[in-house]
Amino acid sequence: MIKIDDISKKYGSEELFSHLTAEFEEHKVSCILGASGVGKTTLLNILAGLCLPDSGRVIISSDSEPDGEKRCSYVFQEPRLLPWYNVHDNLDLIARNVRKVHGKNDKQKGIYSKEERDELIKEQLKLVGLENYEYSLLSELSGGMLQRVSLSRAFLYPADILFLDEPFKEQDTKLKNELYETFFREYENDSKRRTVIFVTHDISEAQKLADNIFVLAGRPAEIVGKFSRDEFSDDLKTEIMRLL
Amino acid sequence: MMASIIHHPSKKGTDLKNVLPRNKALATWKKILITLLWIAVWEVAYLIINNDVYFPSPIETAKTLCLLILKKGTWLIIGWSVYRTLFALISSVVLGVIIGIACGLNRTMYDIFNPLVVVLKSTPVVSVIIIAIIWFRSTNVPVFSGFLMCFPIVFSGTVAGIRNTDPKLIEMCSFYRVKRSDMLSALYFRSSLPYINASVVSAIGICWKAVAAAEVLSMPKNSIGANLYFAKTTLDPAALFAWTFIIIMLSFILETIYAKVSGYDKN
Repeated sequence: MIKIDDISKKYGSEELFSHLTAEFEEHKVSCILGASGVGKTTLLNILAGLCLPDSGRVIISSDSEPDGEKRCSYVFQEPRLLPWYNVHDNLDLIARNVRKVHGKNDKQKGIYSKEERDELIKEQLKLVGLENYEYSLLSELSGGMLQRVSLSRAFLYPADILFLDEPFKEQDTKLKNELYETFFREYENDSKRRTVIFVTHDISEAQKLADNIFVLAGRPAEIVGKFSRDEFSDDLKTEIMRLL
Repeated sequence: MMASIIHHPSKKGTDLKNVLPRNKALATWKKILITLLWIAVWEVAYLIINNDVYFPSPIETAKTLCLLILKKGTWLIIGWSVYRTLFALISSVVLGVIIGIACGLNRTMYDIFNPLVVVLKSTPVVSVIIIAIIWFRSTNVPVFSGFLMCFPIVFSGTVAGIRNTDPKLIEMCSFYRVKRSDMLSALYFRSSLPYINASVVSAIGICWKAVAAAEVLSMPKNSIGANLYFAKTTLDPAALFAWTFIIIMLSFILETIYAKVSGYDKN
């Protein structure tokens, strides 16, 4: 279960959230849809633990790893790759740091051997269509390719929850569609069937990717509507546009 | 009438191929001409002053330089001075980077070391040399002085580099629980490398100046500084200029080697 419980957050005198509560289904793709500046990224960062709420709590309970914390991965708005490393080394930096026990006192050895890591990286790059760019420098790749590397990094990390912060925002329509396909290929291929929570302001992106859509609007922001993929229709789209 | 844009890809390709080496050749010629211009200015100054004891001619200096280079003992002197400079430089770079990283990451460490660095930055090199003459053997004085002059430069460069590490990359590494040791080598050190390289290149010139000054005052055996002093006492300005030219060339060579090895563009 992933739940935000009674969360409040202020930036200066501006109240972003006031007693906000929402629950996200496990092993599903959930989308937080909202207009620019409504607080989507802040909410995602609160969920991911990158930002603390002023009050309230985030409950992420795990049945599979009772002693450890849940592993999370994150696809940021920008790729956030180390520019002095090539594609392989960027992914290997994350792969070699995956520990056996995931917790605060984690001193265990890495999960993957060198051979396993190389295999894993090759597999991931094949899924995102970058198998020929494994040893390419980042300066040789386009923006879309870099975002695909970032996506493969997130899937390579054995996380239970994947957060995506408008990762396809800067791309053109053709590239966006390619990235959606890449995302689905990764998601379908993923043995863990992880829980995905992503934020976007793009209603068609939400419709294409999400099982559940949470509409965030107002000041302080509230969840003003929750819809499942099956409920989606043109009328509902108009209704969501009105709410935004 | 509509204007049309016509592309000549093949022509463009040929142009690019020819233009780059031609620019390089032009730049080389430009450098040679500038050097000749300054030598001409030097010669004019010599003719105006017209006193060999005050100001030697470029030809006389070149002759002395050739004679020096042909002498076997000169290379031993150069070797010892290079050794002292490298010793001072390497130790200041190693310590400057290690302490700089620690201080860049930890505010308390920075607060402890910063007063020392501020004092070192403002201390006249001659004060350091005189204190070192009291404390050390003459051959170690240039090393100590060079070290103290270069350490603050490398330290400040490293601290600036660490502090300018992209916070978004730090956040990403922390989120994916990258080990501290990996973060140090893969993120902080690599990100501060341009700052470290820039500070090392600056430190090379300063190290040569400090070492030469310390050699003049402490007079160790086999040192360029001692020969500068002898040139002064024997009223031989051509030798003084020739030894100075050797120092400038050695500093330039060391800077160029470092820039080549580290991939730093000193321009």
